Amino acid sequence: MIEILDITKQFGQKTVLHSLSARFGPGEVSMIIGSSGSGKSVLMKILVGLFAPDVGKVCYGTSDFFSLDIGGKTEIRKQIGMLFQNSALFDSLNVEQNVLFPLQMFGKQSVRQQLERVNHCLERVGLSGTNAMHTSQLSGGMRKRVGIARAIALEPRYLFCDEPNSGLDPLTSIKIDELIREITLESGITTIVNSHDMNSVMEIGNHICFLFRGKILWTGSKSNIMKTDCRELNDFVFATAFLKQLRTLNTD
Amino acid sequence: MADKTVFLSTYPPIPMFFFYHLGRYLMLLRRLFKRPENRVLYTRELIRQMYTIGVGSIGIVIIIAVFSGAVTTIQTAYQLIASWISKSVIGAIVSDSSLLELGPTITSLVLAGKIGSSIASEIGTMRVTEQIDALEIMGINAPGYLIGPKILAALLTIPLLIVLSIGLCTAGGMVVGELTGIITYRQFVEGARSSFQAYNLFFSMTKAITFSFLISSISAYQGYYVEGGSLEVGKASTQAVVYSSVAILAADYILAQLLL
Ligand SMILES: Nc1ncnc2c1ncn2[C@@H]1O[C@H](COP(=O)(O)OP(=O)(O)O)[C@@H](O)[C@H]1O
Ligand SMILES: [Mg+2]
Repeated sequence: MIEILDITKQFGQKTVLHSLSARFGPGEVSMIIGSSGSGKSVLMKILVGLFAPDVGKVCYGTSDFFSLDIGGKTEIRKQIGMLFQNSALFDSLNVEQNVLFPLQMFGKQSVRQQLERVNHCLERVGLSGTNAMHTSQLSGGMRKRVGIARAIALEPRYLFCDEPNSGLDPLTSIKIDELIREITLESGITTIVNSHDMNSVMEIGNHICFLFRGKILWTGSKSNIMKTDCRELNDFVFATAFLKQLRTLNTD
Repeated sequence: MADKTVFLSTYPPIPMFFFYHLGRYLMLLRRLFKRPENRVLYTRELIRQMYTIGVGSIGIVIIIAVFSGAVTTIQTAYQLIASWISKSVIGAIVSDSSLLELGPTITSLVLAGKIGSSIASEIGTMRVTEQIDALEIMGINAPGYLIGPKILAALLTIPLLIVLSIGLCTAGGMVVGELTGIITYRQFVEGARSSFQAYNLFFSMTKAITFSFLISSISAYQGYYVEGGSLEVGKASTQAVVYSSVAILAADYILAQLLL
């Protein structure tokens, strides 16, 4: 369970996030949606502690992240896995070494157990047998999968995904979305996904926050997002002429 | 008139700019002093860096040392035309300049170009592709893991490269002296021996260690705070070379003032 209270963030004179509050529960995929530049990535970076908010709190369970000392922060970070927009794989390492890295850094297991865990994670994301491949040889979808495998290597309680579908074709996108949802359900992880892709919202959005110019304008689930009368959200959901037409057909 | 306003508006920020970077640089260095999360991985990274920084630079160091020694012999001989000056003086001058300046300073300036740009672009690329964020999120002290081993590797290997350079520079001068008939081995060695002082060796090694630290830490700083994309990484890597070269020359002057 993650809770944010009254988060405000400014860069210079520009306020990027305006006092946001929200809760993200375990065992479900929470989505933060909004168009490019609405502040999704900044919010996520605050959630994982890469940026400090100017005002407000981020609570993991009962502990207020930004009031913890370095040791306390490290303890929480060990429970966090994150999939970055461009995967952020370590390009001096191959696939196996990437997934192994967090295990070696923090794991207390034997080398054999660590390698078993790596193979398990790679199998889980459908990449068995790619251990020796170099990151430059991977396609965009494979990079995301390796990113997911690395993020779940230490069995995190919290999983963050920044635009997991960006740069992927629709079919691969759906597979990645499904993977994220399955992993979340399997281990009861608290998962937060940033997206501007309505396909994935309809696929995995149990709990949705709509961010518009740094404000949360709407929260709900995929079952009621189509019927909202929030104008900005409607513009976002029915962005294309095709969807707008479908909508008028539906309401007629 | 317009020129004057530009001058007035740009002049005051220069010290500000300097202190801003100095402060941020020192704060970054302070973050290196944290217990490693895992000794084995840090050691592995140290060895990898010693290999790239040290072994990877041997070739260029050899070439530069031999040529600068050779040129120094020829030029010194050219300038010392009075017949009453003993030829062994050439040996003394070449060996002393190798030890004091050619070995440590010239080598460091070249290494600032080679190592500095590679450190800045490696760390800068990791920054813009969010690899540094990925480390931080795992709970790893990114400066400690990325910068620490590089500085340590530089401190351990560059002084050795400089010792090599001093040796080869002197040897280059000696061989060229003999081959061109300027000065015999025997005269050269006699001159080198007569002028050698242990204190100069200490001074030279102080320079070597200082320069190693400046090259690696300044370049790492340039890379660590890159914002943007590959264009900015390129810029940071150029700046790394420029700033570490300037820092080397400034430190060279300051050390000479303090220690000689
Ligand atoms: N490090 C930064 N410094 C200054 N402004 C930033 C920084 N990061 C993001 N911003 C600004 O914050 C706003 C939101 O950005 P972001 O969260 O990346 O949007 P998105 O919803 O597309 O992920 C943008 O206007 C961006 O220019
Ligand atoms: Mg973004």
